[in-house]
Amino acid sequence: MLLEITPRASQSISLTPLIDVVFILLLFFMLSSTFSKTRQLELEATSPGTQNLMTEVNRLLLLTENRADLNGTIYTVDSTTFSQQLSAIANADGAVTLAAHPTVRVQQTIHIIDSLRAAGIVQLDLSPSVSE
Amino acid sequence: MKIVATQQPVSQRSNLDNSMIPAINIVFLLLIFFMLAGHIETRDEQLHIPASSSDTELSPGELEIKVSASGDYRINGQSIDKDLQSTMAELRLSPQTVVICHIHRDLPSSALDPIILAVQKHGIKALQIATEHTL
Repeated sequence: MLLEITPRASQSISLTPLIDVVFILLLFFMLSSTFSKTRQLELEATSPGTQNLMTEVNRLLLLTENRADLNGTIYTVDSTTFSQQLSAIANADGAVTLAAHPTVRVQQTIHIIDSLRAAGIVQLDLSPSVSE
Repeated sequence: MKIVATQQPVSQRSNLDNSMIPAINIVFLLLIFFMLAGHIETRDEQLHIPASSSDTELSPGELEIKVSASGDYRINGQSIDKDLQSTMAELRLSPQTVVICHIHRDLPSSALDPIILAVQKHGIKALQIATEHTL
């Protein structure tokens, strides 16, 4: 017996459900994904008196958001003279012990640590906050 | 009045679908971009870490201390009842322990004091502060 198979008419698939799903996925990834990456800042927190005696220890106190006391002299944080002082410390392989006034924000403390690192200071100690 | 629903002819529907293809292409490209370039992580509205230019990848630490905007301390995800130093004393830490601190950027620097003092007391040499990379 011969069977006659009639060819099926090709049915076009509607794109609308596909677009709906893709749009939902797009919205999900747009709203939930972040582009910022978490990094880390490495600091030393050695106890007072345990630092290497061979290196010169410079004391830096962050007084306000933009004023810092470096070895008894007050500087504006973003000034050229302050940057020059930091470069001089870095060239002499000096160490810096950093403390901040209790009211100074953590972000500003991190900002000054960034400046110290950028100047080339490797030995950096973080001390608890100091009132004066 | 009688409303008669007329069916769209197949050729007209097909034309509509074809005109949508460039839009779908762009949407697909955007989807692939967000899937590959972005990454999904848990967000804590109470903890915005400070920004820095540091480029060092965050390595997993043995001890993770989180300080939220309200000033609450959490050690390895668990909130602490006692002060930080006595809680850390119970953990029996060695000087080689890697301590990672996630601290809210707008907190005063004094919020770091208990961590620094605890780290110094245990003779831990290195303290890592988690930061957000800025260009």
